[in-house]
Amino acid sequence: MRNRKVLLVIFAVLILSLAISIKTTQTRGEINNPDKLIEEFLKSMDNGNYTEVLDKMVLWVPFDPLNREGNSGMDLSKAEEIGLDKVSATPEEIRDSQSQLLKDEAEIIKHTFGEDAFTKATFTKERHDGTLDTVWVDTRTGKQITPQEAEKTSIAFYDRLFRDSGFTEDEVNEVINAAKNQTLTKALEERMLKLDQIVSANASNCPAQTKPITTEGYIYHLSFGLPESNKDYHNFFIRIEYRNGKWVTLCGIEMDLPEGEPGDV
Amino acid sequence: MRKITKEVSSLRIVKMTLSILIMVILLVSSFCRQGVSSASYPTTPIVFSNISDNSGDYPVVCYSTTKNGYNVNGHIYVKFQDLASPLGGTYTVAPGPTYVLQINGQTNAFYMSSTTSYSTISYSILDKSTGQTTQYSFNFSGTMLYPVMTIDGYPCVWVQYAALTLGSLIGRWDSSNNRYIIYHWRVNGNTPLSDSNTYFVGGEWLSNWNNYLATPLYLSPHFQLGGPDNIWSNYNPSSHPDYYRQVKIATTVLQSMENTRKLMGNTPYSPSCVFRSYWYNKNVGGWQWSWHMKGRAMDAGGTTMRDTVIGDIGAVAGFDGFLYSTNPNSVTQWDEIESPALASYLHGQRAPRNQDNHSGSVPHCP
Repeated sequence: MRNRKVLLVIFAVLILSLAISIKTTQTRGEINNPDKLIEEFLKSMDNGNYTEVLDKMVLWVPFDPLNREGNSGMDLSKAEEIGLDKVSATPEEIRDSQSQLLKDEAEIIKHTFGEDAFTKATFTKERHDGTLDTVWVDTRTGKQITPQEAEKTSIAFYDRLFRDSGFTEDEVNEVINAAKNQTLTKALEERMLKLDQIVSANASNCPAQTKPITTEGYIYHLSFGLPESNKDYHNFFIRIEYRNGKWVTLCGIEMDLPEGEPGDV
Repeated sequence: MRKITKEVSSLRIVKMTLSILIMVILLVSSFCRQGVSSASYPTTPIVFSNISDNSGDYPVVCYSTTKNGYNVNGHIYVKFQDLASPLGGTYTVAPGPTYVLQINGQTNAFYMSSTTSYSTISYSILDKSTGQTTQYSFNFSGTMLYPVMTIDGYPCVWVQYAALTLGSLIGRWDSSNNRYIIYHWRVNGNTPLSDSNTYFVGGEWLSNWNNYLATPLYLSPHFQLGGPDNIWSNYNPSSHPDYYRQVKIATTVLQSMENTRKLMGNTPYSPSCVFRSYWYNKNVGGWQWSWHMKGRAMDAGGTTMRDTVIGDIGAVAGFDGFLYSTNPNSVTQWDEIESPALASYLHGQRAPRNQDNHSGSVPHCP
């Protein structure tokens, strides 16, 4: 009897986890077809369904709207993995303000380009890859290595280069110790400059390299029927990024309008 | 029955003993790991932000990305690699160990447990009036308040100093949000702007910097730092004295300054303004996206110099309020100048064309 209860509890927990997982997946705004998403976005904007637009496109997380830090609309669970941890507004606050922003922008666009602006809108996409973090790799094996291994590999590499350039180990140590202790003489300074130049010239050949963990993405440029020559003036930018095998929007919703005279530049 | 219970009981004792042993082993190994590894400190956010503003006491944060730094007794440290990547720089380790950060033609060397750092900058300038090319190599040293140290197994550096040395315009502690903010023009979210220019970077964080007041330093055949050429920021913000005489200048600007001298019949001139710190730019009512803050602009002369350069570059109006060059073989090589309607002097900039409003691909904040 007791065992049955335990099994029941485990089963309930499993079902609950599954439900949460499905719900999370649904609300994260993951998409597999960004082009289709843009079409849906335009349709929703045309219909005035701003909340629908946002719920489809945006991953709601707290962020700092006043400082425009980060990108509005990230899944809280994703915030840490993409390097964001400073937040100062709740998801609801962001959702409300973004919804209002979209409403305002949609009205401006319709006022400026006509009621059918969204149905006539066209878009182009531009590749935009980002960097999530950097890790060390050994270029000879292509494998990730620890910072300590990277340090060891790099030192061995430059040590060899310094020797090949005619520096003895003692000479190198003399320069480094003098540099550490700020007792460089003019002659040592010249040697140091030379060592620095060797490092600069050969940095790209060192087997230990920092490698960015990249994200793939696109920036969508929406245009509203303007002449080709003027299209740069009136763009709606939407940035979409691909992270960890899933398309997510990072809410780069911005509208560009012509600026005034630049004044003193 | 009794025997079975006893056996089960013995089994429990064995299991408990094993569990305790495992826990003890885990605890001991955990302590051992802590013992052999480096110090650990609380993490704190370090925000890397683009800089294009002229409003508040500090610029607005925008196009930013955040890394974890460490709070070492109130002083913020950053991993070398975390400092390099958002700015588009590179990080490597040479014997010593010497921690080397490279960015825009600059090589910066740091050493474990040392407060000393060295910055070397090398470039060449062609004097078109003589046809001679001069090679410049500078080696600056600076003393940080806090030494390089290993935290969580990573070599880390005091961020305030290292960020400025790498050409950041400002580094500051944001007490209201408990975070450190670095402002650098190349920051663009997670994808730093590409910039192949070499910059001469310096300021009062470097040793003996003010000596150049007494003995100006030639950065090109005819233009001096610390002399009458106004290359460094000539405004002393009383609330931010650390940024007096800050400088960041692209060597392409130095080249165009020399070329302008040649274009004007080798007539000597002194620019009225080259680099502007954030507060200098704000003080003169400069534009929020000013290329002076990026080290890529110069103001000099009057209408004669301006109009001569207009002819030289075959200037035509861009859609961003500037006149841009249509002559790839111009003497001066200025990419853009300010419209005569707005400036009775030459404002030349080495900048990509038509980027000076929100439609350009260069970030514009706010």
